[in-house]
Amino acid sequence: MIFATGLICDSARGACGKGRPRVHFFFQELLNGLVLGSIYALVALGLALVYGTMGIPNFAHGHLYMFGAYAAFAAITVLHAPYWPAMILAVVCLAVLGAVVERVVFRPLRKAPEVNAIIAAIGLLFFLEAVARLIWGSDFRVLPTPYDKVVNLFGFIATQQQLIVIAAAFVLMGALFYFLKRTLLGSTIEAVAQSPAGASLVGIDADRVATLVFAISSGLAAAAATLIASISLIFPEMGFVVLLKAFAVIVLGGMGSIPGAIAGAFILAFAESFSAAYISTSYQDVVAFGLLVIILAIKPTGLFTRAT
Amino acid sequence: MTARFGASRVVVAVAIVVGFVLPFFIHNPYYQQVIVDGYITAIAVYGLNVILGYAGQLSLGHAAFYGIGAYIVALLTTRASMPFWPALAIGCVVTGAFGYAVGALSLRTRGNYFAIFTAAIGVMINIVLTNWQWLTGGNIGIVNIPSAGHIGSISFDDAIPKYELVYVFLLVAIAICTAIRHSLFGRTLLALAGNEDLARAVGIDVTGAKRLAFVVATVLAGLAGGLYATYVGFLGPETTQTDVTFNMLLYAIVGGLGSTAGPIVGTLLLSTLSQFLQSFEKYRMLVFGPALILLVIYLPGGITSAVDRFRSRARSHDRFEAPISSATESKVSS
Amino acid sequence: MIDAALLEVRNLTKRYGGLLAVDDVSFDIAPNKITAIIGPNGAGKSTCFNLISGHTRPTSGTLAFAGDDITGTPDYRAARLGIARTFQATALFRNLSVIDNVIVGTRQHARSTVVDAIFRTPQHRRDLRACREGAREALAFVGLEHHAARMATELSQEAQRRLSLAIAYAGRPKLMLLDEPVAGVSHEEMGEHALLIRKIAASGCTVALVEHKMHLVMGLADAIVVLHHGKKIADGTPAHVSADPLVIEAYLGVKTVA
Repeated sequence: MIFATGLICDSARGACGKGRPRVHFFFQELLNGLVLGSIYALVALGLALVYGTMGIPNFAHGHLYMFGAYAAFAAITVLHAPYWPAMILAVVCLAVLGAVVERVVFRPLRKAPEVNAIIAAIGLLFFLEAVARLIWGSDFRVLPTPYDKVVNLFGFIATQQQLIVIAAAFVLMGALFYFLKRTLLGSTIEAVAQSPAGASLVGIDADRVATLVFAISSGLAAAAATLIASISLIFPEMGFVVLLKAFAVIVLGGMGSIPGAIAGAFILAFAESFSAAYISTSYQDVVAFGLLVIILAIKPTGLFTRAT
Repeated sequence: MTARFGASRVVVAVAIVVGFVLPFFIHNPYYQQVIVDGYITAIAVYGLNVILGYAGQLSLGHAAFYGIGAYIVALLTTRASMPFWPALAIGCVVTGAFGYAVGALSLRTRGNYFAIFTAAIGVMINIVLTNWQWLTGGNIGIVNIPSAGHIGSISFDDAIPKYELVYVFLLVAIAICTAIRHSLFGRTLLALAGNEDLARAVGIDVTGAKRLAFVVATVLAGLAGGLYATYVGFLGPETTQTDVTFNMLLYAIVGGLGSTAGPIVGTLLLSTLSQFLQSFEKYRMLVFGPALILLVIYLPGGITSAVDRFRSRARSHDRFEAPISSATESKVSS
Repeated sequence: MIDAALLEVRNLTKRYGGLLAVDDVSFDIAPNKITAIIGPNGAGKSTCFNLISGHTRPTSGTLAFAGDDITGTPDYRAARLGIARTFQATALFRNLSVIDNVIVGTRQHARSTVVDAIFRTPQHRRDLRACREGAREALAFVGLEHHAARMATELSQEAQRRLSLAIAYAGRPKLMLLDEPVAGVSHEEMGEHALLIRKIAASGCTVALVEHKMHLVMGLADAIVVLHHGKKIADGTPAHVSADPLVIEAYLGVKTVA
């Protein structure tokens, strides 16, 4: 497996230029952290949603994210779709794929021990990776974007794409919040997350909620992957490290908690981009896992959960 | 019962002898290597069998522990010029100690943290081994790892003694797993995997028992890694990748979790199959991925459980003559 | 009471967020007696059991077992001290045979380690033999000795209930906490179960049980503790409790109207 998430920051760091004052360097890393955090948040939200409602740690989530990136790539390069329609297409494709995966892989295992669902997810991850390799090969790809101009914001430099990542992520997070809190369908998901047994008592169809949640989760992953794929690279193995980062995020935020996942995502992202800048890029990925280890050692229930 | 027990003993004895004499009949060094590689992996898979098959805890960092054992043996025998045997012993002990520490951190909480935590540990160790250039040689790794040396006139540089060395350790690993399976400790592990609350209620220190199982699992992984280092003679960080863990998991599940023969059957079957289908290496997961899903859904006991089921169906006419009034639905368990 | 209490519950309180599941409850469990804890649904009976067995930590209050303070002792340690429990839904090790289920129940007394297990030391052989003996006795005690080799899941619902009793009894506890011991047992088999519970108490093991079925409790219990909305509203002999106006209003009243 190749670890190339560091690339997200490296390419942006190139734009920063050497010999700038320290304070600019700091803001540059802040921007990198925001970009990275936005992506982590979208990926981790999907993971937290599935975990919160079904108790499944979906180890194939990162590979669904990878598939999302390829779906957008195919839409742009094969169908010649413009950027935003390509993203919508990728989101829809992955939502459908997520729903199918829930039906075919996870539903039969709902009553089985938890590890069986994890093992099935690993089987799925094998399959998705092999399919991606079969269709697109093992080469690195970059998603073409029309937003590759550099903008100067209050004296520090960002690409349009970076700003789009941040803006789009916040719009999507807002939309998810609105959906969960303000709509009937969303509140049924919340109800299942609060108490699966209680939800079935009041007549909520758990099967439908499960399918819906998987669709949303995979759709969010596809959106995240499409957004970052113009800054970072697309390759069949890209999913697993992102998955582990997302796990680190939701462990940080308290498994299954949505505000916790968002907070965790930005904590992790800032920790990573600053340690990459001030310590070493080759150990950047270790930061996430180091944080995970420390959190589990000190407060295994996550930072943002109240003790019962 | 007694007749069947006797018969299975004969089968086991024959299998052991066949294993010993195999290299005298298979002269092709490539085939020999494929088999020995399979044995080495199987030793690690037996470790996975203890923590996952018995205790029901999914470790996704197994290859990292395998790597720790391998790197310790490789470093001690090359940099410190230590003989193989003490290096192997140190490798096993350090790997076990590391397993104890990881287990102490991650097994306190129930549920899925352990899988996530061990997966993260696995990736972290891989990153460290890749980047800690001066110690591990980075991506190039460590070369010219010496063999196990001599015992009397037997040199472990020769193909057959090399084979027998690994084979004996495989038998030891199987013996350890079998002994555990039939012990009080083994029953304890199976019990806590089946019902953690009840296990606590009958006085089992669930966390402690899981931790102990994990130490056994990691020691076996470290042992396999140490053997790998000396057998192959060179070592790189790719041995600790998560893919390697996933392969071991695949072997364990195809063979049959919790069974005595499962790990060796699953490992030899799939690793040789993969070797002979090497041109499809990249795509073999197109088949193995869905196969894993189907197994976990429809046959969580793997191949060996299918064989058992078949045999017990053949026997079922002369056992349990009294019909069972209301056999309850049995939940699928790993 | 002449004997000192086996278990002293003092000011036991468990708070879940804003909800007081158990609110300042005190009572004694007398040795070698059968004590029933009753109350309408949501009265805090099961929470009370979870607190006593160490499954959950109390928010405040103390527990003393055989004179020793055991407040906050985790469940597996409490079990080793002699507090065994069964669960509301029949809890078994579904992946094990009947005899192995009960062997696990006796295991707490074995001293051999994983090293003994790997090297099959004489110590381990002795332990295994002793556990198997203990398990056989416990199976005979509940009348399942002829089903030892079956898988636990092959037993009938009712036999599974008895097996769960055997698992708890095999550890030779001083106190057994039975959470709705006859749930899922048919009316005809209920009497036999009541006898079995009496037999446990007669063998020198104190029994405390949570139960909904009033006729069973009234015929079986030596003492009754009544909980309502997490508070204790009465305790004493069955006759005393069933005459208590508070109990009639809170419990029987609710029940008969429903």
